[in-house]
Amino acid sequence: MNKSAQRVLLEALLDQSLRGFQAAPQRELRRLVDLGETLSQNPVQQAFFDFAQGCLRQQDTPFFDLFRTLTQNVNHQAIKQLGLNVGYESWSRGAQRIQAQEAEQGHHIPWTLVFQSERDIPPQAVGRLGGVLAQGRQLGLHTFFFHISEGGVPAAALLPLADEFSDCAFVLLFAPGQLTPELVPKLAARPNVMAFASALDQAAAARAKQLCERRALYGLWAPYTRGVTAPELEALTRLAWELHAPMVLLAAEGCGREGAEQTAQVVQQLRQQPRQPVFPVELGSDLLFVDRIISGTGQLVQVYPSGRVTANGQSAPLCLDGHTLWAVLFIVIPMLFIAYYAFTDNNFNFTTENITRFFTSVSSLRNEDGTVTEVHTYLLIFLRSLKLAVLSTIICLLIGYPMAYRIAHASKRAQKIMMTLIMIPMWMNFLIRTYAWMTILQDAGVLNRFLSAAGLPSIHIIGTEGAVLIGMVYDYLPYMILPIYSVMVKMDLSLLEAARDLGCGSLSVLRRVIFPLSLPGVISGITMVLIPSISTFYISQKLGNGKFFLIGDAIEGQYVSNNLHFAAAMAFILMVILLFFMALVKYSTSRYLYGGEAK
Amino acid sequence: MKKATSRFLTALVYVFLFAPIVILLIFSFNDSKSLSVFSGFSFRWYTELVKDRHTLEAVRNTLVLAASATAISTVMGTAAAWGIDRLRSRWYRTVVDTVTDIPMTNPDIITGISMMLMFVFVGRLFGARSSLNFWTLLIAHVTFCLPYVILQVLPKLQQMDRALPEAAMDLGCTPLRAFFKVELPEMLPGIVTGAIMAFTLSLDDFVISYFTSGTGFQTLPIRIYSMTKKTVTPKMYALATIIFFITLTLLLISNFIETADEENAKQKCKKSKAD
Repeated sequence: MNKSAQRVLLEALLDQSLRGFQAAPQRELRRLVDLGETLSQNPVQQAFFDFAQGCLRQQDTPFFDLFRTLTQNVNHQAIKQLGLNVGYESWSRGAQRIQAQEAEQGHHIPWTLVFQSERDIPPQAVGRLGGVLAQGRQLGLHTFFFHISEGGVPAAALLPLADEFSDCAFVLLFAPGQLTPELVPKLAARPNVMAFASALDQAAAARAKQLCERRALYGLWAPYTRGVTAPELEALTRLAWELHAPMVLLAAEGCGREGAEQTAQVVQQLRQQPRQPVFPVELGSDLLFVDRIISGTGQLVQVYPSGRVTANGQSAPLCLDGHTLWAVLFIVIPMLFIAYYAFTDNNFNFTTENITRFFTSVSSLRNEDGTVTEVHTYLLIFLRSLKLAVLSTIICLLIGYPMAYRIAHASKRAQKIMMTLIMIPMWMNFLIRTYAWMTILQDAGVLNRFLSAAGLPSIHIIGTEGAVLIGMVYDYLPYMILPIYSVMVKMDLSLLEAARDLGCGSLSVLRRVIFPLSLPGVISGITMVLIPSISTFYISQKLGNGKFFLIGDAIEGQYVSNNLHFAAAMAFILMVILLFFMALVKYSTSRYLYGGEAK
Repeated sequence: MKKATSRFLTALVYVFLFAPIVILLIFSFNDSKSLSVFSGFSFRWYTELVKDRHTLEAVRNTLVLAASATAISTVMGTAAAWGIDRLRSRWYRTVVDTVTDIPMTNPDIITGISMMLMFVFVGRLFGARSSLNFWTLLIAHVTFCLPYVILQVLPKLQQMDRALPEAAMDLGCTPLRAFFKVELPEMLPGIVTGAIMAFTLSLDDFVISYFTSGTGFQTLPIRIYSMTKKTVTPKMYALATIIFFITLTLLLISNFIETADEENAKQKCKKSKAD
């Protein structure tokens, strides 16, 4: 076996500790755990040693006895091999591998596999096991549990696999009668195998004695079909202690969730206040516990020899499912309804007429000189919306960018006040804001009174595109300033200094350093202004005197006249164009931000 | 000189931002009906506002709606954030993030139309004559408030030390108790700002409400819309002034909570450094 240098080092360390146990078990064990905690490099190891620390906190905890008897009774090679296979290969290196691959592939990887017993398995199932284990190891799995029962995979078939996968830990749970005397020497010869005799087995005591004589690592296990009570568990641990077994393993069999939870709780309580030097384990919940430390969520994967695999873990919590359901019902499905209405007529028969109407509908426009021109009604409306939206976005950018820059470079206190002042108008109802502009810009409005008081000629602005633009800029300017500001305020000022030190002029610093760095804010500012301004339907009605019909007004008009299918068609076209635009922005900026540009 | 120019321009932007608001405040106290000539100070429009039954009912409706939408979206959003925080599957996370973002990136008019179409369609299936009512409005408001609540709560959970709830459970807390004792207090500032955001958004929303409300249940923005269709009396300005001060107060409260939260974090940081 190719051992890593780290593993060799750990083995030497463990060797030394095991020898030291004889003299001063308590001090040695504490030293080992402390060392482990100091050396641990990732949360998984940390969690493991934290847990061990917790167990040893009491001065006279029976767990010290446990380790003393363990080091006295059991072959050190077995402790070392099994301990490091689980603790190092599985929970450290394996866990890192699992985490890396989970991040890469995006799906959950369990840290262990439980091979269930099954009767009358196909003969080729045994042959396939090696392949399954190899795949598991590839993913970072180094611990495997096997149920050995009559008619299932024979233990004898597993032992060569244990030799082949010497860096993996094999835990074998023998059903009554399965742990035969012939198996004992074979099990004892393999330091990476831990055998569990069934508490229900008549011969358990005899086998335990034989295993003990051969200094093998073994434990006691019991299946349960209902919740295990504290006295029952204690009786089990007492039995284990009599048999010199350091560990008791409980496995649920056809037991409801409640029973399993109760058992897990009883096990945890006993672990906190142990009476015997025996470590109790509830298979399901403890495997999940480790999995949760490694992967964040727990999943218990059981493999049946016939090829059936079950995973009954806690994946997405229930409360999220509520939100997902809501989102699907009231966000996704309504969007589909837009498409549905857009492509159907009043009787819900399929038609593309609504879409073609948008592109082909023609109306005649009377020019000032009396001539009449034919125009594409809705295309014209759409292009006008696009023009005003783009113009207002550009104006917002031209005003908003220097504003954001100025605010971001003010003192902390001033920043706070200035940003609050930017945000206050946002919280004013936009209908009222817009209406207020209407009264300001009217021919006999406040602005013109101001101008005439100053002796200036009055201007006619209401009902022009300019007025609509003023309304749009006014309503959406804060949406441009906010994101740019939040990017600028986080900018590393030393970069600007560095650029200046390297001989950059102010303009050059702006162009080469500040602007590229603030680009993400600019992009989100542009989308936050462009999208509402292209779809607005009130501003143009009020400030444009209804002369500048925009796409939003067109949709609203169709809605009011109960022409839902055509309204949906226009909304659909708008949606598709905006989605296209967003994808374009995303694509071009990701290229600009992360690729190329390395001049 | 340069600095003075920059100051002047900044001030000009603020004048632009506040001009309509100031004018609106001033003319709400105007004695006459004019919206351009100030003829004298009076509370005339405020008293007229109080007498306007329809507007008052709209105010009541808006508050009821905003309170219900806030309560529901805050609870659901907090639960969803809690769930998203525990999500490991990357593709599921991407899907949830995208779907959550839709109401924020989609234009309001499309969100409104899409919901209206579904409600009308479902209503027609059941043979209802008008399928838009308080409940459809509530669903719409909860839907567009949810992402904002999630976005406020999620960072708090991500900042939280994941070991804390585990530690609580190790010390004997049940998972439920650990949630209420450890996780909830950590999330609380996010929940409160999220709730305030949801409340103000619901209060202020016009476009989505316009499409999803029936004739039976009018909210204030819809009432304002129908008022501005005709010529407007300064009564509406009085109303706007009141709303302005209410939202201003809410904004200041949420600002205050944020600052207190930051101070708290700073002090915690200092403490842990001192230890």
